[in-house]
Amino acid sequence: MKYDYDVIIVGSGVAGAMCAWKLSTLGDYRILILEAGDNGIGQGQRVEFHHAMDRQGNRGDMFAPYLELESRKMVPSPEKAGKPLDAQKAEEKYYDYTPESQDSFRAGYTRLVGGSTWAWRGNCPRFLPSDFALRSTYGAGRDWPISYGELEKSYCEAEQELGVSGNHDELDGLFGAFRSRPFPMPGIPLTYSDQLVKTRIHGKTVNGTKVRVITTPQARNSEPYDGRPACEGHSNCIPLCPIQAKYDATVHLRRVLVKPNVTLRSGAAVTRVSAGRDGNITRVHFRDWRSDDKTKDRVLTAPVIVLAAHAIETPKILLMSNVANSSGQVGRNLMDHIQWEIAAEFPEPVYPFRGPQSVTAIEAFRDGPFRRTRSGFRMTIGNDGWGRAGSPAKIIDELLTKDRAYGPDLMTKVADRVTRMIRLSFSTEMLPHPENRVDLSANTDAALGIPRPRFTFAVDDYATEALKAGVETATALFNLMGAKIEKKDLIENGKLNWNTAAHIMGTCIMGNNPADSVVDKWGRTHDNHNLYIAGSSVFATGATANPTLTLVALTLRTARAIHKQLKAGGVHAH
Amino acid sequence: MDELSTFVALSRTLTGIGFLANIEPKSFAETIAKDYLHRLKEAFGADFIALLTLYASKAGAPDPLAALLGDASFKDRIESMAKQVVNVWMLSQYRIETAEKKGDNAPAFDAGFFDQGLIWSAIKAHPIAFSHRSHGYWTSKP
Repeated sequence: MKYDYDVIIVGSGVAGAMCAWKLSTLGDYRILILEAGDNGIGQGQRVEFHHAMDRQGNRGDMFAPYLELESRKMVPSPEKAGKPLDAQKAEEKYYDYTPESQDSFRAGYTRLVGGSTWAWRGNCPRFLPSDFALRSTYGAGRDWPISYGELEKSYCEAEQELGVSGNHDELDGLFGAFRSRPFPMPGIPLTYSDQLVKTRIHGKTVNGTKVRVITTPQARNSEPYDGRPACEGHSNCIPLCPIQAKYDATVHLRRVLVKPNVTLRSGAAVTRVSAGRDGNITRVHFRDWRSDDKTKDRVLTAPVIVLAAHAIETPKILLMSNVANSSGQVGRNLMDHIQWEIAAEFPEPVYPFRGPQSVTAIEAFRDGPFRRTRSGFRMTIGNDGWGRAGSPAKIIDELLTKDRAYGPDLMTKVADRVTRMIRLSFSTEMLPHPENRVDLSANTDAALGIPRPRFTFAVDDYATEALKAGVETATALFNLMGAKIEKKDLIENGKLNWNTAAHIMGTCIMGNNPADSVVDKWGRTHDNHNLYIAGSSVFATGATANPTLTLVALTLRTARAIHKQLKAGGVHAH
Repeated sequence: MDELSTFVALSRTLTGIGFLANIEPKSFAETIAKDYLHRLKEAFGADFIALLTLYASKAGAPDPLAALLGDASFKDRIESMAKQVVNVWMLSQYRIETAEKKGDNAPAFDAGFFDQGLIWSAIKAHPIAFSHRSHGYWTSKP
């Protein structure tokens, strides 16, 4: 049978781009990348995004640089997802909810060529060995079908590809997480703020745990690497690194698209996959919103199809296709890192907004026997004032509104308060629950008539209890620093306050048992041997580490598995 | 005083920023001041004019700031206008406040000169997204 391509990859974010690039290094494959968004991947586009951000008032908004793209109207993103359920129902135009949903699903994402990595912070911690074996170690959640040891080499390769800076000695052996290779470059130097914090808390014991302030591994250059410059500290990692010192998926897109057999087709919103005459899933259906006939069903074929459209759009495509779901688990086990942050005024100026938005972390609270009943948490030290808890604009407004501090002393007061702003943030793990799910809404998007995602979601006690522990720990740490905490209760009027880390995971989880998982440990769907899924949607659990490094490591394995299958005969190889 | 002079004097009174006392004709600072005046008039119309008019009536007072803040009409929309005058100089940004959305919850609008915001020198930082320093500058006290 003749196919249009050897592999069609849906999605050009980090998973799709990495899969395409890795495959292209393994064989001379004809690869098509289909992407719903439509934007450039060169320096000119980056400059334009920077200008667009300047034209937007809300500079902290992760969507600010991208609001002027036509694709935003044609293939919408959840731009108001960070809000509680009532507010989101009123303001959010893309996410939809079942009546049973107790919470909003607050994680957003972008639909761009290059995906959400345009707007990520770049943090790349590894998962811990126990994260892959939560059920067998602590009796909670699920086990993955692979171990840390099986993934370790791929972790090294992922760090190489993303360009992760970090300090090997600080992390080698963390809770048993051995490292077989050093990072490709040293860690980002500590900010002035980090140094002041470290002096006060490093080596101290808090709630029975010894605190170590260490450099977060991050896909941000600490020296020129891979043709990109060292970080210049623009303090704008989210929503856009102006100089691409921080990795984003356009790195691998540019690298792979120079190959004559690799094609990117943007403006292509995939609606479903379907079986060819032989019964295998070899057909990809999409709508080209840049064409005159935007809703025309277009079809291209390949013996291997990879869905890499992140953890909301990927299950949507499977549900619209009615494939790979004999387990009934597609769309289920939706997860995010439930996050909160404590803001404080340091006793002396720490001078935030100079350097990366965050450089250091405290990893000591991620693992322990407490995980039988509650999650661990990973704590980061901010270098961006109060982050989401409050901007310099908020300080100015408070000074004017509450104190009427107009006049000669205004600048002194602003400087005094803003330069002492600091935050501690902590991300927790929620367990995979089949009840937490995304499925298809009866409502469709306006431009193409494709079903919007519909959520049923509730934050579990496992994460909530960890948030409480995080508040207690952050309070103790700020007390050690002599910092004055900006009071905001975790629970107000009986309702839990929480933020999203925008780490969307689950919905097509991996496992050995086809009855309760969607893909195997290679990312291949149990039901369709030539249909693969790449990205954090395959995560069996969420752990407390940022997901990108792990999803890239898994994607590199998936690409090798696809190569093996293609070499063995493609669609007919089992 | 003409409108621009009134706006500059008002800005100096509200922010306490000294250089606003000596904006030279045809300087970049004057260009910015003209632009901010234009934008605020465009965005707020009568409310903003009311603040300018109120200030003009107090400018000759021994303490114009005290006279302005002490005026019974300095509240609600007029007070919000005063905050936007500060915001526009500090952050090159103004917000349209409503009864429901105030302060940094109100929608923000760019006023065109973000990198010229006066907050950056006050807090000893570069404008966000506009570093002109080399790698590692952030390790030292500014």
